[in-house]
Amino acid sequence: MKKGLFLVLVSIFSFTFVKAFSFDIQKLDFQKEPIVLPTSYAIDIDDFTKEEENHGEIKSLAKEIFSLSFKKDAKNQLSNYMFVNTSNGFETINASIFISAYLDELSTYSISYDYIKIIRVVSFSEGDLAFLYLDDVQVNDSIQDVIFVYWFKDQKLFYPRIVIEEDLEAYFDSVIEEEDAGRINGGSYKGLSLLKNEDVVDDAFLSSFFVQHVHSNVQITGLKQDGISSYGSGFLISSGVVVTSWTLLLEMLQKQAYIYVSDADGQAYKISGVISLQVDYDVVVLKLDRETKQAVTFGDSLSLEVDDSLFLINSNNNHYYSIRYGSFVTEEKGRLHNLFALNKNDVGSALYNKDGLVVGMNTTTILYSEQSIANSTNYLVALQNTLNEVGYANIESTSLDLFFTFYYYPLKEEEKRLSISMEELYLLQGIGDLQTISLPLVKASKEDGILSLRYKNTIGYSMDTLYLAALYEESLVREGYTKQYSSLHKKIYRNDKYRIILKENMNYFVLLIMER
Amino acid sequence: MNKKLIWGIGIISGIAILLLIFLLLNQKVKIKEYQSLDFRVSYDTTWKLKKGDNFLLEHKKSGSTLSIQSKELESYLIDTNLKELTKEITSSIEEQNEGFSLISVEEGSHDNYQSFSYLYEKGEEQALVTMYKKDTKLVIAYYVARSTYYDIVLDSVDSILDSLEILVGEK
Repeated sequence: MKKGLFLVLVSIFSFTFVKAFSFDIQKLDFQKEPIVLPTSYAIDIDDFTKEEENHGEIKSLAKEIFSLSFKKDAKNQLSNYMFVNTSNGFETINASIFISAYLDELSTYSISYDYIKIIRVVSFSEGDLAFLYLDDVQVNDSIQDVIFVYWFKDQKLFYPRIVIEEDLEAYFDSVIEEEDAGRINGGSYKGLSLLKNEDVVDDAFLSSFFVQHVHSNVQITGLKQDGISSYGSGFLISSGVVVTSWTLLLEMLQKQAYIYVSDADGQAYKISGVISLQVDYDVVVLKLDRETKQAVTFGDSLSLEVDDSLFLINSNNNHYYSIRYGSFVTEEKGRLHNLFALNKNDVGSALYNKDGLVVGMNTTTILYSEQSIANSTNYLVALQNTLNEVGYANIESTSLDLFFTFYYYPLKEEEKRLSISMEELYLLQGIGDLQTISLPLVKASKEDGILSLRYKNTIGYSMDTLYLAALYEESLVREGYTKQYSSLHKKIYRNDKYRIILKENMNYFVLLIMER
Repeated sequence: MNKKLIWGIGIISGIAILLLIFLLLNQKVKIKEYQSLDFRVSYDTTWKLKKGDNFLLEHKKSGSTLSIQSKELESYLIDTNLKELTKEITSSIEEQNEGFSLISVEEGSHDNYQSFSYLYEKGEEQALVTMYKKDTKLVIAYYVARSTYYDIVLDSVDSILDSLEILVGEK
């Protein structure tokens, strides 16, 4: 009696102290540094934030304008929202012309969409720009991403326009064509003109600018074993030291790619290690395996004014380099909001002002739009000074291998749990020929009259797991079973006595046998 | 036989039959729907919805559980590939669940958005964590069961997760 009571108590305690699996999603933290690096090269980003301002009123207004744009009497409806400048009739006339042109263009498309994915608002000295992003929109006969751009002045509609994905794709294709032909002028995507821009950006200016600064820019390549590469950009802040986007590098680490850096002369460099990392700022600083040519000179992003021309130099065809340009809109807490169309290759690239000084690093936040965001490089000035003082040979870095290890998923061997032995299973009649399944059995149990068997697919992910049980299926058919259900990952067979489910799940073959 | 007795037996039998029919009808599995601001999902009545802030189902027969939670991500993550977030997520899972070993990983897709599944094991317990991302919404579902029941109830779990619809868009 006492022994029995003792055993019961032990069982209760064992049960209560074994913590069951649980997860609280609110404890997730995406800003945590994955690996702690030495603080000597830490980047201080005190007043920087990626959090966006609310702009609730403008967003509501933009949604209303968007909705009214599709009404039959859209022109009348939108006239109630039109910007009127009582002291400048010219602006009022422009607003009217812009709205008419927008509606005329909209009428040439047959548009069907599910929902507005996100509305981004940028406030600047000349009003507010609202960008309404819609993904996978049926535009006439094709599926495209579409952006509706509304420029509001005093919360009234001044200039609405539509940006279609294929227009952006055509622009980026033209940049590649220019590079393929050895030409360096990638031009600018036909963006909004916010003010009358006094900057002279002609071929001569662009050529001179390109020659002066091209050697400060690099390409980052992640080469996978299957030969498929991913690309991005970076720039030199000191001899042998490259700055690029952490998001870009992370993607390459996740894919277990071989990562290297190359410059405009085609010189390739290995990465010796990571000098500094700031996840929230999306910047990683890398040491290369040898010294390099000229580094960039930083400017002050706070000195930028609306519509100032901005430039980037990089490669889109992964061979030759080119120069492209856009314009500045505003800066919010270290984030530069620009009218500058970027693609994936541009992530991590330096953003130059017209004096050839770097003011930002282009980020992955908004791509394939006429809008983009760069992080101010004001926060890197101190680090550049430190690195220049220390000198390349003495700069310490943490091996990239440590990062690869961190982002690799080591799978453990699972425990075999066979409450029924293989011999006992093979003795069972009328449930097909289990001996035709050549995969290792890892779980076998019977609960509530259901026999449950789990086999591990050790052949590999390239082999469809259900296909590996084809012989077993044939044995069921020979025994008179009929197929009741079939899909990519599941099949059901039945006869008068049993119902058998064959499933593929997580690279396992699962068999459930139950009496009907 | 006494007429009254016959009538009595007849009435009792009739009541018993009606009671049986009533019980059988109520045993029929029904489908229920759950909706929050973040997602919508269907489940059958072999599961019981537990009271609480999060969506948590308990399988009546086996005691297995299925939890679905969601988190609104920062807007700058709207176009981030889910794969870039998985390391942070799995690190957090492993911090909150010491001793669980990762035995299988699978990348999948569900209704036009990405998903990843991670299978953990500790002793008798197995836990399947499936994560989904749509725009700025991250949804994580985890199914926990004793290994003897895991595969048996998995089919029902798959049906529930197949019905999952993540609610997004500007409101």
